[in-house]
Amino acid sequence: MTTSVVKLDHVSYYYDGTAALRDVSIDIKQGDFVAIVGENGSGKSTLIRTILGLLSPQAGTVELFGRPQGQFKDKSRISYVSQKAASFNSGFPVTVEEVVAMGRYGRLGLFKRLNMEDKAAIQNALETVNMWQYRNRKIGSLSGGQQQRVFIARAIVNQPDLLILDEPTVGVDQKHLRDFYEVLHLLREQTSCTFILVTHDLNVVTDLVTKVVHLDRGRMACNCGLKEYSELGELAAIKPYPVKVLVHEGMS
Amino acid sequence: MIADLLTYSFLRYAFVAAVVIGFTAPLIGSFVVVRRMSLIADALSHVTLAGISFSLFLGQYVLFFSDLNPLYLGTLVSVLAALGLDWLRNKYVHFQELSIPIMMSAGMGLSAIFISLSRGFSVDLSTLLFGSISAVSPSDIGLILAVALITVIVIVVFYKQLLFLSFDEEQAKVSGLPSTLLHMLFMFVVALVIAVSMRIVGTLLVSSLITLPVAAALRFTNSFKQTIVWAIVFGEFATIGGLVLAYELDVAPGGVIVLLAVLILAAVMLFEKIGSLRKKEVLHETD
Repeated sequence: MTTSVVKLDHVSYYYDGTAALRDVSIDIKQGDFVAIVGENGSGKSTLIRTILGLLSPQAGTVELFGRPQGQFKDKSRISYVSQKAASFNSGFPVTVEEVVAMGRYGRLGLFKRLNMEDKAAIQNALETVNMWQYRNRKIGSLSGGQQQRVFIARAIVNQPDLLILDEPTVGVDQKHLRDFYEVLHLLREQTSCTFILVTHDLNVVTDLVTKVVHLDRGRMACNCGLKEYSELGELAAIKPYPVKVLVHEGMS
Repeated sequence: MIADLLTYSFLRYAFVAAVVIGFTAPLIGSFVVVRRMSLIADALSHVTLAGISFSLFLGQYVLFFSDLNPLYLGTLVSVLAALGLDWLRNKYVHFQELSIPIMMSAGMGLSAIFISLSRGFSVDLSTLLFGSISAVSPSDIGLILAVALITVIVIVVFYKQLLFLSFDEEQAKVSGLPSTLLHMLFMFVVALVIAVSMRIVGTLLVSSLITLPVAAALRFTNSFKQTIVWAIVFGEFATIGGLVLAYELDVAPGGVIVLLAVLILAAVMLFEKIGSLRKKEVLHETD
């Protein structure tokens, strides 16, 4: 049986009494590529922040890798690229290499410095996103697309088992969008990582997605395969995002 | 001045204090600036003044306080105010900057009351506001060195975590760093450094010593370590140079130190401008 990576059981979250998530249950298995879609304010980011433990749900339970979230300590197995990643303070005096090294800091103890293994992991992550040659550049001096690649490198430097991307292409222009999705395809090919991607554009990842979660005003309107989701327009009350389904081997 | 330095112990104390503060203030200031907390230094220095004037006021009536270095109570109040600032920031989640004028007003209000109640202060008001060469006592030196040691230990041990927290607080939390604890520790050290820096530069100019050397370093550095190193170089230049000039000109050291820091910043910006003009010329010639 495939291992459960993220399991939400009847999770609800309220901001000042207003429900952002209502009774959401999801079971994400190892190797899944889950696309989370929905209109602005539908609860996508709240769902991600709940999975990450940045928010504690008022009802329901969250399990990560089979353990209740409060007991899950191996945070280096999870990486996250937020929609705010690209809106950092661009004047911050930090090099590309320093930014990616931050991805290793969570697992380093006090007094410990980056060792050869850490440095090799940093180089490997930067080479994966084709940014090694920019390692000594100040992060703020790069283009939006290049910065996004650096944040991806930071996210993969620990070779995580779960990679969560919350609208990572916000503010990235069309040309660099293509670069970003190329990197995503590459990661999918090269790793056995589980992916959760919050997106408004399913079409660019149709060949990657194994499951679609559609949120509608905090409720889970759909939790199904891509093909099933594309047919929802005629069947359900929700308006699914436009998607051209490409049939791939093994796709649900 | 070198001969005087060997002759007068008060000058030696001032010199040691300037060297140590010239190192410590930009070191912690590098984190303060990149975390966009520069104004917090102002709020804490004003509250420290309230603590010092309260100690001097108590010293008129309570024997224990008359023998106590007023900087001790000033430092304690500064640390408590740092925690108070955080509490206020949490109360005004959408207007966090309000915490600074609130704390600053409270500090100045209390200072004004205690100073006016304490007629015959043994310490000149201008010394508190702008610093003094003769104000540094041996017990001040002890406190300044202790704070410098604490600051260096905290930065060395938690450098990686503090950098991550400063650059991306949310990611730092996700990766399992104890962000609240680290932030409290950071605020504690900031409060300590601000309190002890007052002896040399005074209440009104402490924040300049924390921020100006960093502002100059930020103009041309790429990495955070470079920023810290250059901020310390500029900080030392401003404090030692300022102290020497203040002694020769017989003026308050705070003003000269801060003006030197401003001049350094202006010089860096000028070099930056010349550099960019030269670059343009080279590009133009290449075309």
